Amino acid sequence: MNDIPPKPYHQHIPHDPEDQSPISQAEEDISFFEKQIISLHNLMRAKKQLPSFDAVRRAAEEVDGLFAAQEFPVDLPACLQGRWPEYGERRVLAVETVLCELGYLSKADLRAALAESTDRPAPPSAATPYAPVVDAATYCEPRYFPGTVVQVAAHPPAGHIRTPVYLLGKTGVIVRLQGMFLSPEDLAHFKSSVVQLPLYLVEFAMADVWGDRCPPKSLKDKLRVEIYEPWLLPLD
Amino acid sequence: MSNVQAQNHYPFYRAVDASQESEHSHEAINDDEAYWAQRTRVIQKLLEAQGCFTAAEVRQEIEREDSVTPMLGARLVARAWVDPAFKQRLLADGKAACQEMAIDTVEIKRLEVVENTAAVHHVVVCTLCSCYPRAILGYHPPSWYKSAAYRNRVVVDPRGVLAEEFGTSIADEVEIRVMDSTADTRYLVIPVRPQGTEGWSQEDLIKLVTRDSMIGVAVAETPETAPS
Repeated sequence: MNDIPPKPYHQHIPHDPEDQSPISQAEEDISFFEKQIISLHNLMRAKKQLPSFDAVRRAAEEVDGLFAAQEFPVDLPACLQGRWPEYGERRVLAVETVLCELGYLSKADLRAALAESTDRPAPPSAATPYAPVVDAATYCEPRYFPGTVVQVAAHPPAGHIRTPVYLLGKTGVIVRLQGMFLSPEDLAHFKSSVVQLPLYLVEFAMADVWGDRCPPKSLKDKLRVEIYEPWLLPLD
Repeated sequence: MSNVQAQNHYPFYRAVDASQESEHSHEAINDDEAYWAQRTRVIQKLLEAQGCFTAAEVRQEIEREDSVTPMLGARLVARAWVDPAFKQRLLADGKAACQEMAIDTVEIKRLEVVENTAAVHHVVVCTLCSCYPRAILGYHPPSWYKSAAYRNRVVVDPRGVLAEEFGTSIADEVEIRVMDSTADTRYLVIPVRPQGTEGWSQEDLIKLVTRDSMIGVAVAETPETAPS
């Protein structure tokens, strides 16, 4: 199958360090449709029909990007005209997008089924397997060791990333190598070649990340975050 | 900087009781939920028509996910508290230790269990979405864990969030480590074993281990505070 290039409206997950909103702990029951969409995509992952969750996360970021850009999809239901999608709703939209990319569904079939037109026969399977080549050569040897001081890249590429924006350009210390994992950035975009990467646990001092904004009581506290090697530069 | 957060505080929800869930039709409480219920049913039916799975398989998966509760995590913690050798194995390789206890880690690629001590207190977040050790703590993280407010605030002011929002006070000399779950590892926190539990059975210790203490926003219940 072809890869899915980053959409212009894709949005990296924002972080608002000024947020002072209350954190309600009201226990919310999960609606049945949310359980259903999560179960059916977990089932498809277990059956290897869905290769991983990376594409679903990327598609969810695209949903947020559409709403942020006020570019509403053609099929936007009335209930989303004036508000952001809820967690379960976003998941439905993201899963639909990925299932269409993989060829399990088409927008036309979805529209017809939603309109309850019953004269369409069951669509034939058009799913194309996603079977990327794994590049285990480019990053075969981990570059960093516990104690190495590293700086996070300042500029993110377009598309799906798993480095939090609040760490861009920040300096930390390698705690350890966590292991070798396939690049979520490649997987999320269904790249035909996916690079295997060293993944590190990196420790950041709260004082270094937040500067003057660091709460006084947290001056000695730490953030530990997993970061993939291409994002890290050594500092001497 | 926008105050319209990408991910809402509150997911859609309704009260569901077990007997309703076994029915074929699910009455939605309002038009919005009815819309999404229909849309999800349509997706499922189209995939069934493709032969991806059967309705029974989806139902089984829903039931399996519903059956996973924080009890699994509490069992790991209680055993770690009484069995130091097990604790070391749990800290060294979380998935292997779960296998010892017949706990299926399913979709978790790497499980790192972190121990709270007199020196360090861990608290877990996923600022990028809602990564959570679902196979061990349950398939639906608490709403607050998924909220933009928690994800924004806990990495900036963990002590403030713990104290003001969760009533959890951590001594100044204890280092707080915020674990942001950005990649393939899922974290489980072993809370500090409460005072006054010497000689307790694992079964009784399990009752002190709350979901929130395994995320790190709370400490374990004590013999005084635990529900009887």
